[in-house]
Amino acid sequence: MRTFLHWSLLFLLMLTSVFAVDVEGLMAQGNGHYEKGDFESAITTYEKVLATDMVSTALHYNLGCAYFSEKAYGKAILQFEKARQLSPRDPDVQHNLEYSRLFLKDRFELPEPMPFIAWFKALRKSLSLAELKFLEQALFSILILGIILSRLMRGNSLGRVLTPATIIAGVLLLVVGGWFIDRSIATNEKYAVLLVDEADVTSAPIPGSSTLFVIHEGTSGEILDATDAWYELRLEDGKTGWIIHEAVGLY
Amino acid sequence: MKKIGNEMKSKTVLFIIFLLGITTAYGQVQVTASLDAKQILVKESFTWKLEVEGSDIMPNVRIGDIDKIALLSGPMQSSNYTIVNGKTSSKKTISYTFVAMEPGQVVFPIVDVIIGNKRYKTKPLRLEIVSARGSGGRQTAASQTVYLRAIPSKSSVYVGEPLTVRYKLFTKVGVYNYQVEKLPDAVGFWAEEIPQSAQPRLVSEVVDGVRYNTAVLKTVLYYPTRSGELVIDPLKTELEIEVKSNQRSTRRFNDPFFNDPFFSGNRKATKNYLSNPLKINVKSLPEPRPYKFSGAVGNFQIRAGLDTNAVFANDAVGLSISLSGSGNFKSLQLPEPKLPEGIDIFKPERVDNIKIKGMKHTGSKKSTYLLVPRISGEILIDPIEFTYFDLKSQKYVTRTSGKIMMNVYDAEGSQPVVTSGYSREEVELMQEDIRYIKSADTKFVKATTSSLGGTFWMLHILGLLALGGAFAYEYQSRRLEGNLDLQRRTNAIKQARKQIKKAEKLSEDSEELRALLHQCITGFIGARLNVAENTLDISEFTELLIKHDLPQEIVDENKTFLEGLAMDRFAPGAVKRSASEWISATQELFQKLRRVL
Repeated sequence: MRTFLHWSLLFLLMLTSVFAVDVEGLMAQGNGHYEKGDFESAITTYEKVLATDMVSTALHYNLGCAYFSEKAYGKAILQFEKARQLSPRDPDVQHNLEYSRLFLKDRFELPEPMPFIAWFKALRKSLSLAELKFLEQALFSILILGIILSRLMRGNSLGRVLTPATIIAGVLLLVVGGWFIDRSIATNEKYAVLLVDEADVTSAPIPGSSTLFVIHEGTSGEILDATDAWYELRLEDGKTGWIIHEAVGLY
Repeated sequence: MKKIGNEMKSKTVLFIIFLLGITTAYGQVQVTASLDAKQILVKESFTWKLEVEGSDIMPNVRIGDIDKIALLSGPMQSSNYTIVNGKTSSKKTISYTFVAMEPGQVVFPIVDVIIGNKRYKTKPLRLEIVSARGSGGRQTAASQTVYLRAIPSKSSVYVGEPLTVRYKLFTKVGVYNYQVEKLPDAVGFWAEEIPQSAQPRLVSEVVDGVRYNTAVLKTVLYYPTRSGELVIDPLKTELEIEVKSNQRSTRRFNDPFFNDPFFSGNRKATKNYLSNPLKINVKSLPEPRPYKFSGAVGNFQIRAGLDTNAVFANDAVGLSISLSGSGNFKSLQLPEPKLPEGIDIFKPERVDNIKIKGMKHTGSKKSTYLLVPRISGEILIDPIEFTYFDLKSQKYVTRTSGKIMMNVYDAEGSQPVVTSGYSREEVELMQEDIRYIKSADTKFVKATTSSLGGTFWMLHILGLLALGGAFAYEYQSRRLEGNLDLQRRTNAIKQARKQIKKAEKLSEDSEELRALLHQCITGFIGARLNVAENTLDISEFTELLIKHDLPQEIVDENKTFLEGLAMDRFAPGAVKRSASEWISATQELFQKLRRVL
């Protein structure tokens, strides 16, 4: 009995290590295809890695580059967006995302946002989920310790410093915690990008309903609502409408 | 009146200027002659004044007779010293007061003033004398005390030709304040007010033999936008004016000091005044109009050019078109460039620099386009043409910019197809390329891992528990702080245990040990039942325990224990029990009591 357990454990260990080598190897293989200019094979290989349910910034980024080279701008943008969610401040990811956006047919002229709000939104976007989690936990710990210590040290000089510090930590926790919960509890995929050349955006999630406007490949929007076959999108300029699942990729 | 005038007619005018004393003139000497009015009525007086600045010497000026006027008083002399920032300046004034005798033009000739070795000349001065209106004069606007007139610069203009209208106030009484709410309605005109200094300057003027103080309240520039008989509605003003409380036929002094309501007893009143409406004949521009004419009227120059003539394909190049001159700038559009195939053009940046100068709009309009050539070779852009109607020559004029040419060189790499609407940053980005893939080892994570893992929940639950514990501890300690009995009760077990431990440590079998054990049990009972145990004897203890419904056996055991201990203490040898035996008995009893108390 004991030997059986030993063997099965060893087998499990081997399995995981083989699995890890597999991902790294596939990744290297994909990079090799890309370097040779064989973008199609590179895409196939990278997609195989994605199928293993393992992800990394480089995987999404490289896949995005390959799609871009194949002029599949919608898919490229989708992958770059996914890479950005993992590493929001990666300059390469940012550059390639912005660069791919130049090739979109739909362009929105947006009013200048209010300076403070723009800064706040940029800050939120510049933090990855892992960073938000770390910040949330750190702030939570600081808050708990702060409350306990400030009550213990009530009346002395340290307590006088601790109380406002705790309040600040609490406020920050509310903000960061809100961002974190918003990104992790709700579905991870809150945005959709159009992957086909063009698609109708309709007034209702029913086949045959009237077309409100047409969007082109690479245009993305926030998902407001979803049915079995349709998503309700809000575009950058605030227009909303329904689009079928097949036309979009989610990130 | 005429008699006096005749007497003076033949006399010549003489200005003899004497220089007195030693000249100590320093700095810049300035000599100015002035009159306090330009237009006066017959029988009115006026003052001629000579001012010498920068000299200590009072020049002696004697004025002879001048036609149509007679000397009333003078010369009056005054000196004035001022020290500003440590600099002394002096001013000498000589003035003569004359009275007007006959209507007509009077010219004060040039006056030579010699100061030191230098000779200074004044400017000739003109004065108009007008006859006063007769009592039975015609009923004109002049009979009104206060009125407002709109005075157009022209009564007939071309479409697009500027027209200036001055709104002038004529008043015989004091005006303290005025307010114009809005410009008058002028259908078919595009209007702009010419800004003026906050307070309009009062100028004395004679209209139909009546003296008025006048002030231009507003000056408005009108550009007609269509032809025909157009009407500019009256301007409405609200004036705060002086109203006479008692009618006085003539004014004794024409001096604002005495006309102040403070002296005359007059009061202020607010009244509305309308100007006259204006009818303007707007002529349409002559036909035939050139094909490219877009309505510009005035005088213009056009310039166009690239910021560089040699570029790489897909590089951005600036094309600026600027129009300068004067005319109806606000309503005209700059010509747009016509580009050959293979050049993308982005929305221009526009800069306007237009000012009102000399009753017309002058300045420049500039558009800067961003061009991105997509093909290489020599590219020629058509010259920019601009056609306008020249008001001076009454003809259409077409101005043409120079030839626009650029050499585009091949650039490497394929570029995106561009539609309009890119920002400058995006155009800059366009000149770059997609960045290369990342080949360094990267950390893979499971895509489906929930970020709300076990450690996350563990941390938060532990944190909240810690917080709860801290609050519970705080609550308890605060409860004890205020309640000594409770504190005693809570500490009773601890206290009893401590006493037993202390007893165990005592090495010798002594009276002290037994007292300690006694204290341990009685103290515990006292603390738990909240009584002062030192005041009770054994029987009282027993009663107390019975009263608290303790089991009989414990009550008995307690009684036996305490009695035995007391006997052992106070009558040694009566009970034979060792120290360790007593300690274990105490412990036993304590455990039993603890369970029930």
